[in-house]
Amino acid sequence: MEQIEFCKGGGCTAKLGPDILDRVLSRLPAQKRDPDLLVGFDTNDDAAVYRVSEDRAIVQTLDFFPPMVDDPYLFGQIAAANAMSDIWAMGGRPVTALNIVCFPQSWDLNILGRIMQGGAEKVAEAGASLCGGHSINDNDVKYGLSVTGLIDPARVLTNVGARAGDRLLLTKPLGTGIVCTAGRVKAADPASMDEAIRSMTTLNKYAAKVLSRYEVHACTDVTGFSLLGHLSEMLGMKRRASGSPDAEDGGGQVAGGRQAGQTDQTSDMTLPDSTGQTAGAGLAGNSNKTDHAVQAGSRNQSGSSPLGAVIHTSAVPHFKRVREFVEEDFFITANGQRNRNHLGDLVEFHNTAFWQQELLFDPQTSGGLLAAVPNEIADEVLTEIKELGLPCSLIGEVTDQLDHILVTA
Amino acid sequence: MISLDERGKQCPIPIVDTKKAVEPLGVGEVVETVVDNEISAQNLKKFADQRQYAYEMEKVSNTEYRVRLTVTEAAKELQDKGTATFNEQDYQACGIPAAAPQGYIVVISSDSMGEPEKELGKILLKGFLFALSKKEDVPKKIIFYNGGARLTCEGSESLDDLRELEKSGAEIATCGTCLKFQNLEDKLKVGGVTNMYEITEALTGPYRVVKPC
Repeated sequence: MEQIEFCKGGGCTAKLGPDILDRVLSRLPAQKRDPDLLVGFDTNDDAAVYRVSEDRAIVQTLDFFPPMVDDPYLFGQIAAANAMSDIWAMGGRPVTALNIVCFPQSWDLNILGRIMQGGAEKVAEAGASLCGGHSINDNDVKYGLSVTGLIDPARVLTNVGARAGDRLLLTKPLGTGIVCTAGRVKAADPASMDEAIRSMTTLNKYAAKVLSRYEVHACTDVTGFSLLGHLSEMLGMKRRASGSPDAEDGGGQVAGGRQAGQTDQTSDMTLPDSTGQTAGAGLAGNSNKTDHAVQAGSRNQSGSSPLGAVIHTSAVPHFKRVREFVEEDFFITANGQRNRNHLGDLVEFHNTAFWQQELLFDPQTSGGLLAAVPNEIADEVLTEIKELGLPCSLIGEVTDQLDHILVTA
Repeated sequence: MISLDERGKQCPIPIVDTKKAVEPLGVGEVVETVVDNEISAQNLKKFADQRQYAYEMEKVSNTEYRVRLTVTEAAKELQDKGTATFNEQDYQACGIPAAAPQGYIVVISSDSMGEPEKELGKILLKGFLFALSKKEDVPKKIIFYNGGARLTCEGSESLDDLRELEKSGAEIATCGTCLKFQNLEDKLKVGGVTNMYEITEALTGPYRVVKPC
């Protein structure tokens, strides 16, 4: 069996980088806003929400990717858990799912059968119905689901709305990108793979159920754009520097993020102009003024004062051997670096080792929920989430004293 | 010079291959790796920075980036250090005890030494740190956490003793979470900030741990 070919570096490490996506999405023709479209893609949220009646809305999402593990059955499970996660992150419950399949016709069809079996089992565990799909012949395997969920329009849990003083709860450990990369080059021990697989196949349904009983200000699931990427979206941050590494003059960051003490605020960083060229990328904090200049700093979507966050690395849950995989073996991904470039100086590292930085930029597949929870109830919520059995913690706080993310010991 | 053509290969393969090629080389020797995208070149730079190889990059075209890593003295030194640790672990894995390294680490977890008299404990701890500062063999590191964090901050009566210890070579490290929790973040007066990873590393490392409170 072509097991080795099966996994070429998949999961959310295979996503298009955030910079590329931003550039394309920003050029789509403006559409007339349907008042019943409660959440569209303008807020970078996890799924679309469309109101169909006063007390009912549908939540729609779609996710698929190439295999990130060698076992087709587990790949199916992980892809399905990942695809449905967006529904739970919005506070909804999945009701129907459609398969999306790319598969080489010449391959053993049992492999495809195992993938779809894994997916179907997770859909059943979610309480949703698998009701069709679409399959095409392709050179590489890809699998995922298009999922529809239901939600009360008054109880939509978006990724914006965090308030200063909120604690940040992460419900799964980080490092699936790093561990799966180690797995891809056959360097991960079985225990490490098992640990990551157990986390990736765990439905966010259970964590979402706990969260639904509490007042949660904002929630998202952590996937390809990394913990820091998804957190920056939650805080409504607009990156200051475009620095797209994929642009012709890409001036991406390598040491990435700003380092402590380097707090020069460049208030006139630029956005890509209409030709897609970028100016003043975040390498040295140089800046070119253009008509597209935007104000530095983050703004949450409501337009009120900027929010920032403090992340405590010592509290961040992660798979056991990620440090070794990064420090010793350099099993780092292209998309981890893209995430680093994308965030530029929205992130400040203080006392943060290289491997911890990589972990926070690591693209996650079927990652946990990241929730902004009022301080008064944070410990209680954590205690309940802990009972679900995966490493999880309160990893930091939202603050209005900063306009960026400070990562510290 | 070793040349690697890593075009068409996805991260981390170019880094893993480069690492394999560069590690056996001596000071001054060079590995040139050709990659087809800038992200790979940036990832190679992170590798070079971490391992202290000299990094040069030449962009030939949008699909050809030539990265040259040169082995520096510092890189070799770092590598040798790494190897030494590895051997020690090897011995331990085989059940052969490695010679216990000299030196010790002191852990201060409270601002008071012993029970039950808190005020007496404070006097005792101050005395302990004073005595420690007068010892000939200073500790490798002194770690302060929980209530101990107050001792490295403004208002502590042991600041002078700790500064003296630091001058004699002891690393003074206070738990960052503890400072934050007690609103002492901007009150730290001596030494640096540490985290639970470094603390765990220190406590489980090869040095003797001394914990007076």
